[in-house]
Amino acid sequence: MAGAYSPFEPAARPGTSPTEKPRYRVLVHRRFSELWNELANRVGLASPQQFYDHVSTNPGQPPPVNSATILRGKAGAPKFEGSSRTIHYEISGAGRINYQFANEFTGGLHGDPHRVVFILAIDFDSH
Amino acid sequence: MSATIYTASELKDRRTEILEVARRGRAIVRAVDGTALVFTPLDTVQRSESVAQWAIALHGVARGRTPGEFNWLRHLEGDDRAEFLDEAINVLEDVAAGGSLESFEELVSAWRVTALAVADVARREVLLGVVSATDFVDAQRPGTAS
Repeated sequence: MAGAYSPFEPAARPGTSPTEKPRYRVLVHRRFSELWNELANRVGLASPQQFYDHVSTNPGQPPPVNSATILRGKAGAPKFEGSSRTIHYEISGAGRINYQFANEFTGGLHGDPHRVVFILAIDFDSH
Repeated sequence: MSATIYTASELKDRRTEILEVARRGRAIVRAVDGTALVFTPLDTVQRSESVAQWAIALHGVARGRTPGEFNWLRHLEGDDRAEFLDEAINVLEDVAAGGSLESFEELVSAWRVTALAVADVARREVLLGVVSATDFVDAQRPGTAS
């Protein structure tokens, strides 16, 4: 079960059979956690797993499948010190995920820097 | 822009030269009635037409209108619209000077994606607002039993 983010607690082991060991902890904004849990029902399991495997290993690289765009203007501004701009990932024709990543996130505390992906927003609107 | 001018009668005997000149830029052939005809790569014509169309549309945006191709701009706040306009005009100037139209289309596409990303209230509040680490929870890999 998903719980509140605490930078000092180990991440739950994600995935059943990812092709590569996750390097980034993946977090989702509370307002979109329900949509995150519905992803597989909405677009099937393959695309969400491809997204997860991509961002948990190489979030700053172009995705091997699907497409990504860096948002412009204020929507693309980094949310945390050292985080990336917002990346808009097209998970399918009907689903999009906006995320940022940080390679040395401490949460403003004095903990060890760690790699985090922040899923900011998810949408299934027809554009 | 300078260009070599040929007569219509030269189209037969100097066609190889005329085509080569046209390929490198433009060749002008003067018809018998005096009309000047331009031979130039199709890419050049298409880029010029696109630049003109986009320039008119951007001019409309600058004057506060939202032309159909920029209908999505209504989702952006004023300073983002201004930033879009500034960037678009700069890139379009590069295209007009011989740059690739693709760079302009990519810019417009990225701004359109941005506008649609903030079209919904919840997404707008998170993407444009302040967030903290405590707003986030762990995301399990889809398909993983929780």
